[in-house]
Amino acid sequence: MAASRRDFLKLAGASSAGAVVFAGCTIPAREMKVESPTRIPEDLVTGRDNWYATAGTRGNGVIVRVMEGRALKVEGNPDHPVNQGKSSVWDQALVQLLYHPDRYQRPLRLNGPRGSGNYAPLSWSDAIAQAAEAVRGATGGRLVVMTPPLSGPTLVAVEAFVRALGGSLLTLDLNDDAVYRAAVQRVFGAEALPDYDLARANTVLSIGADWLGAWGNPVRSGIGYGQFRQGKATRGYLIHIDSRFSATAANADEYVPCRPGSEGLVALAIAQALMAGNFGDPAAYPSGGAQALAAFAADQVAAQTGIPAERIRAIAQRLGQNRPAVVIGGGSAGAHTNGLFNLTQILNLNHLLGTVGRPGGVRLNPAPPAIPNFTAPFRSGTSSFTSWQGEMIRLRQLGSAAVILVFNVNPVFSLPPALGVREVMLNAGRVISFSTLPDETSELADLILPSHSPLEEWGVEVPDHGPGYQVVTFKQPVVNRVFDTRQFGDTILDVMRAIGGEVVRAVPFPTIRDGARLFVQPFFDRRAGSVTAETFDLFLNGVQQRGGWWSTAITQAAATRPASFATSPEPARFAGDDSYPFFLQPFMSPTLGSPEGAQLPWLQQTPDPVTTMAWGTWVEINRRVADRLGVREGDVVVVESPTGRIEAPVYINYGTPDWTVAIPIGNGHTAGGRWQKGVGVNPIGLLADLTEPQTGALAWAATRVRLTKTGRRVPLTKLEGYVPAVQLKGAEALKITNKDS
Amino acid sequence: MAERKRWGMVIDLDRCTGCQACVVACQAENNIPLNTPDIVLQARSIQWIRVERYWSGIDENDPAKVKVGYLPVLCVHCTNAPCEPVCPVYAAYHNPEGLNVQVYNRCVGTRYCANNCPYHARYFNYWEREWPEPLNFQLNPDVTIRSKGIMEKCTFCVQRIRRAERRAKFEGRTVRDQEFTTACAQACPTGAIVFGNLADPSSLVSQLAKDARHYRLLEHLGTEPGVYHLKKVDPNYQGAEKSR
Repeated sequence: MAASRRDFLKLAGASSAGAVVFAGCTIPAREMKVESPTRIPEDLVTGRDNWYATAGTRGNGVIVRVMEGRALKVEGNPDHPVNQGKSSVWDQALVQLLYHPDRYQRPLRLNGPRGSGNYAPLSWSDAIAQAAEAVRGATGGRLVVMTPPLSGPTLVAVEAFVRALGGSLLTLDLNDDAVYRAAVQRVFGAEALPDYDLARANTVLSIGADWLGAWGNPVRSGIGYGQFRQGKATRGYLIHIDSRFSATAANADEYVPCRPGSEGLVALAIAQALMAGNFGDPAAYPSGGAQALAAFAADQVAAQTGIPAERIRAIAQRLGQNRPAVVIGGGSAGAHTNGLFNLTQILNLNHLLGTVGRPGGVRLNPAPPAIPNFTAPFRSGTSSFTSWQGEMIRLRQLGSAAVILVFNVNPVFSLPPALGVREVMLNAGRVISFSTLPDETSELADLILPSHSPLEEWGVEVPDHGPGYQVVTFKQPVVNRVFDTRQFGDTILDVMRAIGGEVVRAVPFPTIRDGARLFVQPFFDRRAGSVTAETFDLFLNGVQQRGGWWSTAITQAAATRPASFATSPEPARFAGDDSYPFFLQPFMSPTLGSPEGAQLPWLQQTPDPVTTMAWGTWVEINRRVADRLGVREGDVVVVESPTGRIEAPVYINYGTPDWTVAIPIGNGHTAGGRWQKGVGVNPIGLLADLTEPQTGALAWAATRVRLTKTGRRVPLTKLEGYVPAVQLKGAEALKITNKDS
Repeated sequence: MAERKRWGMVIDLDRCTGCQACVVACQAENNIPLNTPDIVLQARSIQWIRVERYWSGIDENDPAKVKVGYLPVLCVHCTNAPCEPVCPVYAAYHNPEGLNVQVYNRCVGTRYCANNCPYHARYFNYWEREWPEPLNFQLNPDVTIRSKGIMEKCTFCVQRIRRAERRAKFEGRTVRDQEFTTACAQACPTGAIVFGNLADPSSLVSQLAKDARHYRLLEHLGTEPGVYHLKKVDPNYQGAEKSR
């Protein structure tokens, strides 16, 4: 129905606080176009705007500009210790997720066979009743809930729900580096991920971790990087060792290609050279010193790592002489069958360089706070790949007895097809989706109870990449809900109430908003930190205004200890024999940030930092490999692994090592919103199900592939022109100097 | 007495990582239309600020020698702007604060200005752009929606400048350095982009613009840009190479 201007104003006046209620009415297009017919744009005068603080992506705090009940713009929260007013492309795009036209707008019920996409609307009360009916009998391990990692009151509610019914909770996050988490625990004895004090470091060595791309929190890393380069007396020097030419490699002073799976050996060779040259911190030398690692001397491992011995010695010398030096390891270095071995050796170098707990080194973060009266942890972990495998086997046996609940994760797309998630969903008794947007997993649901987008939610989060002290981010809605949706945690609480009986007693609070209040109560009781107040209500106001609560007094002391390097090598295993000559390096697209990012046009259209590609999937190889195959940029090749096959166009990345084929993850969706469906191809089907045995994480860099020409060509959607962007001598647009000012 | 203004910017290429936060922040702030795949393929994407990526040191036998440099390019608000004199309808004009302003309501779409811009910083609206409802709710009411057939480009976030000036006037003072900034500079994680008043010698941009690494894009053309770039530093740099 079209509302007249008068109706619209009446509606706006009648709704709470004058905010606009958009459900079920449309505003004439001319109302939304601000034109200035007689004046030039610089003379525009507009009304007042309000800014509301809430949680952004990757642990950032954001503030959102709101006018007339509309969320217009996301900025970094200047008060938030993690991102200090800065923001990422993913933070900016939160408003597009909020106003995405293809969002589920109301509860829906399947009207036809599963996967047909035929849905009929139903009321919330009917939807809750039907969901409760489906779940009520699903006891004894028949219920599985699939979500992203949860935190705060939402986690408490979902945990209570799952526990009351004897079900299981499976979490999925492709950006959670589980192997890195385990290595941090092993090397630093810390539960929380550390912070790297890049701003005060003179040398940074990173191995495998694309920390300026999509690994960790690139905003936090970027803030440190700016200072590292030009914010202090001497300019910092960055060395990046990787089996792929990543965004971090593109910004390094030295990029050193290495053979995949040999990253641990590289670290051991560097350690040996550090000790042999007496560059390290003798107190941290493991017993036996350089002699104990003689088998890993640079000359011994050069062939296996693909790095010349003198290069390794030069890196060690620079690290030792140009301190503080810090070493970051993660990403592809941990994505092998020997991933934990690799990352342990890499992170151990920090002990050797004496930078743990010191300025310009590794800052440990405190564990998330314990909240009295709640048994659930503050933040859930991520289920390992092997637990997903185990659950899928179990669910396949359960068949139609299984009840699957899914919220904002897309295992059908994000996990290798060999796991059979799709078949499990198709054969399950009931599949209920709580997702915000349609995707490959949600389209298999019988019942959809859509959730709010992040900017409409309540919650409490602890950033994964803290600043070295305790930070708690408070999440609040910045606008009234856009569609007839409900917060996931609240829907779960409603379903529990509808089930009644024993389950209800497990409900710790009536709504997630009330839960969020309970969660910040302990920080009020401390009477210290970034917000203090006379009364709890005033304190809560302060927390909502500032975007959270933090205390520089709550830190994690670092225990200095000798480095404990391995004494024998642990080689990586790969899927595929010599008939697959290349190593596949899938990587999370730095612009999409996750497979869910493909829904948002701002992220899709943003050029990838290294290739300038947008809207699609491509295959990165170097010029020499392309010449050998007889292909040019834009030629479509078949990429084949022992488990799958895809076709995608070639992009010539001059920094790609001869042995590597790199493909971005995120696109290739067969379902979902208008900007996601049918764009690019999904390389996840190429991955064999090899795992890192100690963590159960998928070894996603352990698959070998071969390439074949198809003879077809496609034009590439990229920012640069048809020739490689190289500057002309004498007319350089980008000027370079070797003098550090 | 009103203070003299020359709005300008400094972009430190040694800090820039090419992360694109500035690009998306600008699109969000300035109602820039969606660049769908067909538009990207026609090279008609609109990005008021874009990050150009340059290869150097390409050695087909040694991938380790490759270097990458990032160059954020936007309208540099020239003092002697080549786009201004060629406009038959005075849509491109120079305002007293040093801004190179595009008056949308005068523009008739001759595209002479884009032909004459050495920075390729002007973009033409070849289509009437649509934001499928409710995506249009995100549009910034401070910024005009440009219709088909007119030119657009970076405005140095003129709406933010005006807002800050109005607030200062209301409070009976002049605009303070760094009390506001452009959308690109506000988002930039590494602090590569700094915006401010070049006419004020004590402002941060004036200080940074004096850095030994400063240069201006294509300054030999005599356009007198209001954007200063600071050279990228590469300790291993051997001098420019031959064109390929």
